[in-house]
Amino acid sequence: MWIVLTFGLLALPFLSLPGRYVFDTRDSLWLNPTGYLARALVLWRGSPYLGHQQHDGILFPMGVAVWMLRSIGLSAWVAERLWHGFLLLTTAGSTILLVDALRGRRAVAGPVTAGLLYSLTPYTFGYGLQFTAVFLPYALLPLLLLVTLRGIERKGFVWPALFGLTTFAMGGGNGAPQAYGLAAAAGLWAWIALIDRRVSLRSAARFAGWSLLFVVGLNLYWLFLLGSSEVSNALAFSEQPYGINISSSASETIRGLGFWQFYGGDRFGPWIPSVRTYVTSIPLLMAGFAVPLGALLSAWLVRWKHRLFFLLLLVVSVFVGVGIFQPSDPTPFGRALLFLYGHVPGTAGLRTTYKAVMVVNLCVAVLAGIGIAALWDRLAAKKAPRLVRTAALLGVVLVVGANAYPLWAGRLYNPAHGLRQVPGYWREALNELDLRDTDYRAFFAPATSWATYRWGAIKEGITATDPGLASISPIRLPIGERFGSNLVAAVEQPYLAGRSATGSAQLFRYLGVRDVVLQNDIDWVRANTAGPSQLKRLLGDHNLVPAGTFGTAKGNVQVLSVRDPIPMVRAESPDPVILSGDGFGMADAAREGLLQGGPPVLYSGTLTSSELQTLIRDSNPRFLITDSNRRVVWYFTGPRAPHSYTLPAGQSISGRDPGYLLFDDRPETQSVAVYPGARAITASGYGSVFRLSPQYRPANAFDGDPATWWVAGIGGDPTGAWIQAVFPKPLPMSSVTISSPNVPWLNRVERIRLEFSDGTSLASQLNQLGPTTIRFRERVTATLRVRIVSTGFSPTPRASGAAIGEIQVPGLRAAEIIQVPNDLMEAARQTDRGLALLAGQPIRYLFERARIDAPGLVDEETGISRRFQVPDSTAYILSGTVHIGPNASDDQIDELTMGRTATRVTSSSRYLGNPRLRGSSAFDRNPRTSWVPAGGKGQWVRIEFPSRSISRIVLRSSVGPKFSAALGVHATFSDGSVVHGNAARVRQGVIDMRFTPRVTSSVTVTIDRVYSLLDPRKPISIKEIEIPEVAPLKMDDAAVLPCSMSSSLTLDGAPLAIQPAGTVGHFLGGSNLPLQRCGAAPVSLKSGWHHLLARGGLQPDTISLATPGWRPPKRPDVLPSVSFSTTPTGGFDVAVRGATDPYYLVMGQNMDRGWRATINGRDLGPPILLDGYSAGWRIDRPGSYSVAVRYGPQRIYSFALILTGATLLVAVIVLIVSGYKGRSRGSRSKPWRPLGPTLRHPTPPQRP
Amino acid sequence: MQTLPRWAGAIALSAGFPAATWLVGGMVGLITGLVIVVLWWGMAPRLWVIWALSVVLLAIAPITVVLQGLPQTSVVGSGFGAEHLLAHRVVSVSLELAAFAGLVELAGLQSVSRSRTRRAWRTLSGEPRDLLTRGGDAPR
Repeated sequence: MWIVLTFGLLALPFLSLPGRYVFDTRDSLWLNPTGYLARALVLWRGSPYLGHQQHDGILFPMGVAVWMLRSIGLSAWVAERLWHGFLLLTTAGSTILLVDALRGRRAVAGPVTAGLLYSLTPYTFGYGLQFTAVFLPYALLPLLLLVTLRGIERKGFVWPALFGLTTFAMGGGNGAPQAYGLAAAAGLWAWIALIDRRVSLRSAARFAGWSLLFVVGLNLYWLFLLGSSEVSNALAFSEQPYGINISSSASETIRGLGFWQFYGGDRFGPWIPSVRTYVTSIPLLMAGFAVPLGALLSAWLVRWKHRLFFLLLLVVSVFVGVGIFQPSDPTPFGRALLFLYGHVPGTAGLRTTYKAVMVVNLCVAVLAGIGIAALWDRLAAKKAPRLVRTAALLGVVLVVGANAYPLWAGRLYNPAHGLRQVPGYWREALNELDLRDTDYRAFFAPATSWATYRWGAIKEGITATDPGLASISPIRLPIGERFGSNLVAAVEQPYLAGRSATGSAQLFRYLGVRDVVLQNDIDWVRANTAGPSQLKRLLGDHNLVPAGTFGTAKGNVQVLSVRDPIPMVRAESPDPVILSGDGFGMADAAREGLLQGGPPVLYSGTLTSSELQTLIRDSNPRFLITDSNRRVVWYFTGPRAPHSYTLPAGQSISGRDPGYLLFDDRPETQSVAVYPGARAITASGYGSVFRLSPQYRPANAFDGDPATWWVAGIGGDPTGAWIQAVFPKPLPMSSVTISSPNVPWLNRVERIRLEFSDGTSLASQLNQLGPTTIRFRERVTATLRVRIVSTGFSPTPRASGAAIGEIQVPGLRAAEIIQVPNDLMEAARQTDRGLALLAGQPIRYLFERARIDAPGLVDEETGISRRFQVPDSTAYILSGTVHIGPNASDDQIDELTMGRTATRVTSSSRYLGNPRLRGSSAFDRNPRTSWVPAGGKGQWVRIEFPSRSISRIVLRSSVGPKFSAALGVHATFSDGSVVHGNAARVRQGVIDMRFTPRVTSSVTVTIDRVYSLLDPRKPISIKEIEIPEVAPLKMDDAAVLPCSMSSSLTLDGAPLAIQPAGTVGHFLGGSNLPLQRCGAAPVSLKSGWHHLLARGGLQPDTISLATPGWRPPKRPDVLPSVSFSTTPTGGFDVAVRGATDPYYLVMGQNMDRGWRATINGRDLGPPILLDGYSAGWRIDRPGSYSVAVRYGPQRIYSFALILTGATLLVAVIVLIVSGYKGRSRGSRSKPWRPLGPTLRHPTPPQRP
Repeated sequence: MQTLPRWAGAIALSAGFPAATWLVGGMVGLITGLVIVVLWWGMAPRLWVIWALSVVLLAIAPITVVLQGLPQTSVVGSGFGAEHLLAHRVVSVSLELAAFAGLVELAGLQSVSRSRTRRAWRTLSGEPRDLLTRGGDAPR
């Protein structure tokens, strides 16, 4: 039996994707086991994530096993299949041993069935073999129960040692499956000691105590790692309970399913194809339920000693596996779990309740196996006909075979996740990079979640094949203290978010990067990341130069070199830039050229008031306050990590942690949303049900701008969606005006319900042609909720979602303002002269509009509305970049291009929004320009002027195949009188209206009749409207833009006189133009809070306010020379030569409080955060010396490794000594004591 | 548990079981737990009936899954669990019944409800005492 089982289970994995390695736990272990193991004993891992504390915990047995298999010359795929076969065999074999022990005698049918049922499950194929490090506890759980069963009634250390060794063989990792396994063993222990009472409590406690000691001792090396920041990051940012339990219903959990990834997929198909069939195929569905059904029948009908234990354990573990299902309405148990995850440290690590399926599967397999054995015995005892026995056997084989279908059908693995071999050009490229100076890093762009190349897929990217290479391979899940991840995400903006590449080289210098490797052979569609054309945007920075290509002539791999790179470990100037914000603010500053020369960057969020004072006293810092580090909830689900809209201080969405959790989540370090008239503006949802759409946030409905909307339910049903404003104090209200935009891709909101805090509500129909004012009896309410009750007709069949453009409540002004970090002021205020000291320093405010630089997409912000604090009354220089606003009205454009004029022209619309086709183009006496409305009949243009008498209007429109012709119009005057006019001849396009002279201050010309030869959708083009008595406007594309007091830019509500630098032509063409104050006059600001608002005719991208003379600090002429070498334990020995002045020593490794530096044994104190990610120190000591930089926790890790080794030695000695004693005692040893069976035992367990 | 008098075990089970089913099943679970306990006391079913009911419910679970529709798309979708709530409820009740039967056996309470019920019935109907002497009813 064993031979057949061994051969079968070892061979069958080879049927799936022969010749291809597929992902399992860590690619680097399989593709370069020696390189991986060489780093396994070192806690700090410098590549590929800028340095982090590793917590793999897969050194033993997986690491050693894979290394051994690969060392004997097996290829990665053969070694992997053998390992998987071995694990299947171990799983089945340990179950067979357990069932034999439970039955008290050896047999074939029952135990083998149990072994195969436990080993060959959807959980094994869909999850276990992808993460075999996590599968090891599954494989060894039966052995753990067997050791508990035997050991609890024996004296001595052998069984506790065996218990410990079993857990040791389960390996490390995230700990959840080990915990579930230990919980099952503890349950069995409690059953025997407290219910069964076969052994005394004292003896059971002794076994438990010693076992626990061995468990802790043997697993200390990875248990210690559970405290690492990587674990807390995974808990905060990776799979969350609401996703984990999205499909873990009891009916799925009991048949070994329920893991959320089993049900998901993308446009290329299911994530785990092998499991899909278990859910969609009726035969497999039946076979899946047949196993627990057999188990239940067995629990009912077959009497044996521990059956109730396995039954009750099954029930409990099913409900644990179910977890918080369904997440929208959890059970009290689910709510209790959520509470525990949030409030009891460590319990969140058990949130992956699908791992409890291991216990479910084992209970089901044991019960079913023993049931089969009993059935077999019964058939044999009753001498049942062979046909009946054959049918029973066939039934078992069918069920086991159906559950094992991916194994024999060759569908164990996802074909999209494998690779045959790494192409030669990549080996060449990596070899070349290996040979270059290791003082620098290589940056592999772009980020991926799963690096899918055109030749295969490696989850960790190509750097997994060369773990020794100093590299950065970006991923979105935050690493370490998250500063580095935040900065790298900002660095990747040029190709992932379409931002300008200017300043990228400077950011790469900070990261210690010399080579930027463009992975052009990535299947970017599948990997959902940037393609080659987007990667090329980096060449927009002239400091990134092509250095070579590998592969095809176009370059499957292209390497760009950074001009004047800076090594990872370096000395930097003593004069820093102190930045309020985060890595995105640093990237903004680099784009603006504010970090030229590479000054050290300190985040103000990390500074205490005394540190700030010291810095001002001992150096010449520059202060830079940005609107970055926004309080948003990030979803690190892919390279383009989506995020929520900016939240008010203290608020979150769905209970998720906001931002990158930098600076301990202090609100003063963040850019937060402020709604002046409301405490909160929330909604049931916003944007698409598939992706986050901050551009459709709830606050848009209260911003006074009908062009921005709150949108709900795109891709779903918006009925029932609501938006709510919470007021700081109850507000009297008697009317609300609501408008819903009329766009073809959205449903019109037909009916809404207003809900008030007193519990009353009222429903109303919305006007389909414009805003609807709903009047009601006045009430005082603390909240206003508007709920969409129904939606109406939409012109396009694919329309989904619905929007509310504006909700107006008399007396309520709640337009969103982003309040920028004020941590600097807070820190300064804490000391007596802090603010005064700060006031004398160079300070710059840098505001960037949140936008998506991709055509056709709606920007998150249409303007810049910022609230910021100023330390003292000072003059600031205004600068920035602006372009014409996409929603600028005709008169706003005229004001910006011509200044204030006596004549004002507005129109109903412009064709495609083109500013050149605005109304005033028909009133400039220039036949080459014209007003082209976005429609025909009903469109109007209005000309307002100082009151005078007029008697004639001539309208000339374009005629020809491209245009429709206006055949009839009417003119309305300010006195309400109307004159009609018709075209005499269609071909001429002239309508001449002569009328009795009348005094008027405006003329509104409305189109009544339109003629089109072929296509009525062709636009109308009005070239000229002549009113002889009114002087036309003077428009000149070549004219310099005038100084204007535009309402497009206000400071504390007052318009600023501004002048974009450029011509009218550039402006109308959409060019980005530098912004300045008229005559470069400074803006005077008093100390305190200020509000800057820029939107409307001018759309700003950047606005800056700086004290005169703000420039980045100069790089000192002389900096000490720095060279370094790495130590075997992950530290650095840094040789410093020729230090004369103070300097910053930057390590180029992610900030971690564990770093320590000493000079001749003198501690330099805790590290500080430098350049947005790195640990470093400010050193005042002159001369030449050596700095020893060590990672402190390595000592504890080394100690834990030694302790684990020592415990292992003790355990092995215990086993050897016991084996020797056992042999010498010979027949005196205890005979095998059957634990069962007591089949058909009619009574419950009795006391001994 | 054997150290406690049987009636104490029965009361503990009657109180604890609905609490446990409420914990894992919410209001539906509470109702299920209460119904099981009330029926156990009121109708005093033989234990095999509870076991059989549990097995039957688990047997119909795959049928409810099929009846509620199997996905035809290449990706199953995360809504599968929510779309098959009936199967979830059926399996939950099945497991609750099995757990109840197991706990009754574990605590040796097979005959408690029956004897109480019969005593009550006798009082009401005046049946002679000798008809009430049968004990447990575990299947053989």
